[in-house]
Amino acid sequence: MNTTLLEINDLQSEIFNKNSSTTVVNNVSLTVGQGETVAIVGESGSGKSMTALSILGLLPRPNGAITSGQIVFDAQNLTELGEQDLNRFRGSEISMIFQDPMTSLNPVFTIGNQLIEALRSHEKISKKEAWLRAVEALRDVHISDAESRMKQYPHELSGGMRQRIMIAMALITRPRLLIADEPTTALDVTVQAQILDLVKELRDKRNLAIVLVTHDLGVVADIADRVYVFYAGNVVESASVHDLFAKPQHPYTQGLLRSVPRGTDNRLQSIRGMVPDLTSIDRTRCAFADRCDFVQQHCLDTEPVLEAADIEHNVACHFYNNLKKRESNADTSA
Amino acid sequence: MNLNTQGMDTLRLRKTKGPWRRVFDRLLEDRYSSAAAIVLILIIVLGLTAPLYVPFDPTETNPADRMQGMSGTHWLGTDSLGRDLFSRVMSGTTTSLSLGIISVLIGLLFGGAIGLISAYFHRAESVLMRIVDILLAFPSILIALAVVATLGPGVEKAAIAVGIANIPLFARMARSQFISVAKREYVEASRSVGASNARLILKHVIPNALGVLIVYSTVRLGQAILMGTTLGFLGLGAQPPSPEWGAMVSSGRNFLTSNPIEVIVPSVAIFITVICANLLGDGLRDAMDPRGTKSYMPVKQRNRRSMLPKKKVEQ
Amino acid sequence: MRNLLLRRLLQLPVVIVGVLTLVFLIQVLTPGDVAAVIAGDYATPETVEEIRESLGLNKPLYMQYFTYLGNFFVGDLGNSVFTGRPVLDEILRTLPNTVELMLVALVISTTVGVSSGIIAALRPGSLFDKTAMFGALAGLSIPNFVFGLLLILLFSVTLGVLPTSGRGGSLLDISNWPYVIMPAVALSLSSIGSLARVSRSSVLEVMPEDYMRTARSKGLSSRTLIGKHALKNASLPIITLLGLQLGFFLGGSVVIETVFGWPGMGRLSVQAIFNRDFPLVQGCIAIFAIFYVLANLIVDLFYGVIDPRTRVRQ
Repeated sequence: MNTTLLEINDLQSEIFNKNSSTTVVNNVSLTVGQGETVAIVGESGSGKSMTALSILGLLPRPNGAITSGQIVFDAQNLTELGEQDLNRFRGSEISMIFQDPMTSLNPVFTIGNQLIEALRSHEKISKKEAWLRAVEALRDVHISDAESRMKQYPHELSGGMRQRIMIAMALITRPRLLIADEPTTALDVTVQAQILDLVKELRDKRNLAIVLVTHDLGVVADIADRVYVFYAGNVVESASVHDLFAKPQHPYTQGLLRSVPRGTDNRLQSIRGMVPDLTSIDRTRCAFADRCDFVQQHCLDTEPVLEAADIEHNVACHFYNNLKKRESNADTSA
Repeated sequence: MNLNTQGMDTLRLRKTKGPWRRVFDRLLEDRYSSAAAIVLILIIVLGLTAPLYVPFDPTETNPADRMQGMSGTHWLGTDSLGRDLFSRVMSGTTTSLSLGIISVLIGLLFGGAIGLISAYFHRAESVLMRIVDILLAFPSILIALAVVATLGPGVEKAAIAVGIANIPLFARMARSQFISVAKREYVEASRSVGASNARLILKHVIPNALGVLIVYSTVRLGQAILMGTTLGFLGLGAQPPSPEWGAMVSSGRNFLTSNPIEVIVPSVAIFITVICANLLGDGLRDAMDPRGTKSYMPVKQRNRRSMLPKKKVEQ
Repeated sequence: MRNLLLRRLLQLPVVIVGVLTLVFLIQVLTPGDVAAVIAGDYATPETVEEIRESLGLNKPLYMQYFTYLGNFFVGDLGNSVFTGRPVLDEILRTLPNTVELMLVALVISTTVGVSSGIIAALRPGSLFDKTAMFGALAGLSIPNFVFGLLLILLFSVTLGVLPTSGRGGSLLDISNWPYVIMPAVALSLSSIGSLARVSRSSVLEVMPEDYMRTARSKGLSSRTLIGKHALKNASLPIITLLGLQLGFFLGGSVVIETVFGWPGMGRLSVQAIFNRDFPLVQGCIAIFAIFYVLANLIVDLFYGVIDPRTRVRQ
């Protein structure tokens, strides 16, 4: 948290179609300190995964591209690099794990083959040495019987096991940053908890920085230091986990928190309306206006920008100051 | 806790146009397929009306005029027996095309029936599908040859032969199609309110499976025409002096050196017809394919994936 | 793996008996009296009776069927009505020539078709892609006999560089190679087309897969990315298609061998059909089909080697 490891400035990424383009990441800025865990939260289609993919230049090819902004990792701007130079960072300094462990491993190669390949593409070591390192990497993620797992194919293993292997593969080169794109979404609840515990353990052991993309606020509360809330390709609020859960400022964040089931309150609310279609979004107004309970004329005229609401707490809403009052009014009238 | 459910409504709301309309619209967008469809229609019309406009009797020989090059009288020249090639190739259109169409219809009808029966009657399924499997052990042209060997040569027999060769292919396709339609929600729903089997099949299953089968027929049409002309070329299909294209190539073959146009004219006719049928088949298949958006849109795809129920995985 | 092999091997006799049953039906379903058909229009009743006797046509149908099956499995496929020689001898004489032609065609269509399909997939929308895909469609739309005749017209008649017909001799002697070039190219035409299309689409289908993104995230070179991760997955449909191509080659050989006077089984079977030589027709078709079944068995085994998932499927 002391020194910055990754800094994203005004990132804009687009997906190009035949005659149109869609801005999926819109002027996003965020920072990740060394050893820090930063969560990116949002609904599907909010641009959170696209931001994560942009970092390593992994936007879908050939129609996805970063159109402006910088991604600075360890004083190197990654957006300036070509594929070949980027490959020096991919899987070595920065690794990534993905949502669906069932499809993220190549079905026709053994686990060992894929682990060793990850290692040998960055380090000049013998096959035998790489094999030993791979076995060790599997043990680090608590996979029993590591030697025989090396010879197995992905389809022979369960989802939780495969996600462990993905983690082992990502961390085998001892990267400084791990990008985890919805790493537990496709897993069973019990397995989710095990995977999260594993990630926490490895993070603490290795002083690993993590960018965690998720839609699950429970996961955020469990693991993250700081949070960025995404909506329609924008960051709408950023704060420390404590601040965000204690005093959410943006009406969207408040809505998200209300839609999380809690032990004490059995009223569960959802945010009305639906996720806007990014292909037809109007960037001159507040993207959340259609779903906001507190919408004003000003929201339809001007797009709000991130401003400091508190120390290290930013929010993109014209009226965040007045919300509290309005909310209590709304509660009494309802 | 899961924020993904809202995406579902968005996707449902987008479905507004009827499925056929959508297929048609997409086909129109595809320049090549639309052009191919137009050319194909033109070929059919020109073929059907050929007797009205061809300048010569396509089968009448005239030794005095043999092997003449292109001229004002004989637009595409004459063959080794002095017959006008333009008249022959245009008159042959109906034979070659109807051979292809009839054989595809035979495949569609019988293959479709076999597919339907085996999709609905489990007892019949194993027997029928075994037979289909064995028929698939033969390359289609071999089935056609075997049938011709049985029935003897002739243009009608060639149509039947190619048709029979089509049956197992259609049966396979139809069966999987009927099964997948039967599993869809509305069929399940009608079943749950007590619709009879026959009613279900007639009202829901056949109309819904038919679309894919018709597209498949178009895809097969090009190959069927090719196979028909092949039998004609081998002398096992249409018999001389019939102006069937394959047979024309076969008789022109002996004069390849002295009168190459005799081979080239029917060859070009086959090529244009088949490539149009293939283009149309490709276009229809792409237009029918729900994933067939040619430039793929990853954002929507990601939405769709996260809509799926969480996979049950045991550790 | 062993399971799969065993299951396929157990199915084999069933399929072969099925094939033979259908082949047997050729004779049964032929309209009219087969013996009379074979004897021709001017035969005396005695000759017809003689033929009926020699082919066992006077016996009850089920007897004929079991005799046919039994004889087939001991290698007795009957005698050619036309030449009087054993059908098996005729087939064994011509089969190697057909296989030789097919193998050359297989090599040509695999190298040309698969490689152009992959290159097209790596640059979708490029000039190469468009040209290759139009060429592939054209290849699928030209009858192979037409293409064969065009080759003859160009290389034999006009340029005079290749012989029009015949086989020459063994391919071990390089001077015989010119004979096989045109027939093999003509035979592989449509296969090149379909292989190019399928290779292109299967590579394109593999590219957006999650595991390809994982591979990219590991920082692999594009050579490893395409050559290892994409190709091995994309090769599955290509290999399936290769098996089907063998069927096309078998069918195509019937036509191509006729066009180029290639002394193989395809030409033999066409002549047999013309001569109403039923035992020879049946023998040829049965051997063709069994050859095809075996070829596909080998393809399935290959499939198991490449895709580990099929090995455990019950």
